[in-house]
Amino acid sequence: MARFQYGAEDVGFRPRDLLTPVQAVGRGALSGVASVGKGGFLAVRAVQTVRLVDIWAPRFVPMLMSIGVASIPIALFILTFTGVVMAIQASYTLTGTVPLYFVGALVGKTVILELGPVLTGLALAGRVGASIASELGTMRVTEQIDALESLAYDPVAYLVVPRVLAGMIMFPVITVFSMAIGIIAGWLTALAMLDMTTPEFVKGLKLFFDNYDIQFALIKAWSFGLVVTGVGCFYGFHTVGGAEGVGHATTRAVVVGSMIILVLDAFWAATLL
Amino acid sequence: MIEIRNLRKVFGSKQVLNGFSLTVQEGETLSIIGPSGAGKSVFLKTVIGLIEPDAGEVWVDGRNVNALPRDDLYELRRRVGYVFQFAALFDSMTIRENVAMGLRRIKTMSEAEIQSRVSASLYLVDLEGAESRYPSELSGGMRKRAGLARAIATQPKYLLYDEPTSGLDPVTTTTIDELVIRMSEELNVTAVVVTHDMVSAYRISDRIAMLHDGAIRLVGTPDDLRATDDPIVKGFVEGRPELTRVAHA
Repeated sequence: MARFQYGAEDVGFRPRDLLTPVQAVGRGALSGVASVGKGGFLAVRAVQTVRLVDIWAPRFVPMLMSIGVASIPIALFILTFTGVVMAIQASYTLTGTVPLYFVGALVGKTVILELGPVLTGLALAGRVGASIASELGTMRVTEQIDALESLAYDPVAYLVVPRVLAGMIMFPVITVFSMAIGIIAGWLTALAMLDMTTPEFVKGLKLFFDNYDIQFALIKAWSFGLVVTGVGCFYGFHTVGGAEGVGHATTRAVVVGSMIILVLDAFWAATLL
Repeated sequence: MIEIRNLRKVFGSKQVLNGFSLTVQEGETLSIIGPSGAGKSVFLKTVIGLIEPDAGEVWVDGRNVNALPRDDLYELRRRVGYVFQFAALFDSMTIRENVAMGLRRIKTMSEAEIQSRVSASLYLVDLEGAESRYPSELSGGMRKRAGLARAIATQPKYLLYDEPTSGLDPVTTTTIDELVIRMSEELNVTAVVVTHDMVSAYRISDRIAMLHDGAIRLVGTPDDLRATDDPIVKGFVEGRPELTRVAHA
């Protein structure tokens, strides 16, 4: 295959070109290992700097608000329509086979065990993960993180710890609201569109309900909070370049955060159920 | 005193610092000159441990910066003010909050003392009245002065300036130069100024060092620099690339 170079003669195929894909794989592998190493280092630093309460504590409440409270509307919006769809699909699937009150069971079980935590986690990976990565990335490329260090602030304590702690606390809280609104939406849909009564829906809801399901959902939400904020901080902290670098960091934070959520979802299902 | 011993730093395949040694005496203002990309800012960041050298040592007040435990490193940074090239102000905070940031790390200071010190620092750099504005609302020169106010607020023993006049008009450049001189005279700080602006370097410096190929090519007073026959130094100082090319040939 001919190779063309701008401003140079056609040099034709060179045997070393065969190595290009191998080099690309090697570079990718090295970059992956380096990322894991850097991520581990950042995690260890975050644990070590939790003791610097005077640095992160003033930032903690604002983070609870921006990561948690401000995220509630989007999570509720998503779970509202998920609850509606779940009720209609359950009715469509179950009609003529089992009693209709099983709609309540299906809505409750799927919203609590799976859709509440996972959809909330994915939505917040977009909102929270992107926001953290872009904010920290901009601070990195404009030397604001260096400025923090020069003013004797540990940047991990100041930037990472309050965000990750807020994520670990607020993701379960938001997930509880999401699950509640999903079930309420399913219940209202059952009343309005499926000719069901409230006692029927509640009967189905209670049928397979187990307190452990709530614990399971909260463990998942807690781990998603840790991952989304941690990944956002990691990519923001290690941003290089200018605006383009911030864009890359933001995209990677959302994509990688979402992927880890799905892997963790399978992991928790396999280990806790 | 700041003492740099045989500093080496490589980024990728580029050897940025290669045997860089220098001593900054107490109370002096020393400018580091050299072309863009020569490693001047890298050197400045190694002084407070923002960049770790691959080899060599940085000693500040008799302590090896790279061997300091993290808590001691932060203690040292409280004695060093750093003025960033593009100010690096926290864009989500007002100027008053920016200047107060370093002071909030001093646990013995009350809020009233912090506010008083912030006002005094802003007064020194002629930025009274801009306290409640955000960095995006300031001009380039005002941002540089705000960065300087933040650096001097903690009353540091050392001030490190990274290109304090780059990108500024001549009048604002003179204003910043006068501020640098004022800081040295009124606050008695030891200053290291990284610049490639020769007019500024001559105006503010007690000594000037030229960085070339990762090492110090020449260090001396402004008069020494003017009198040198070294073609590399002369080429840079007089803006005559042909001299530099001949020296490399």
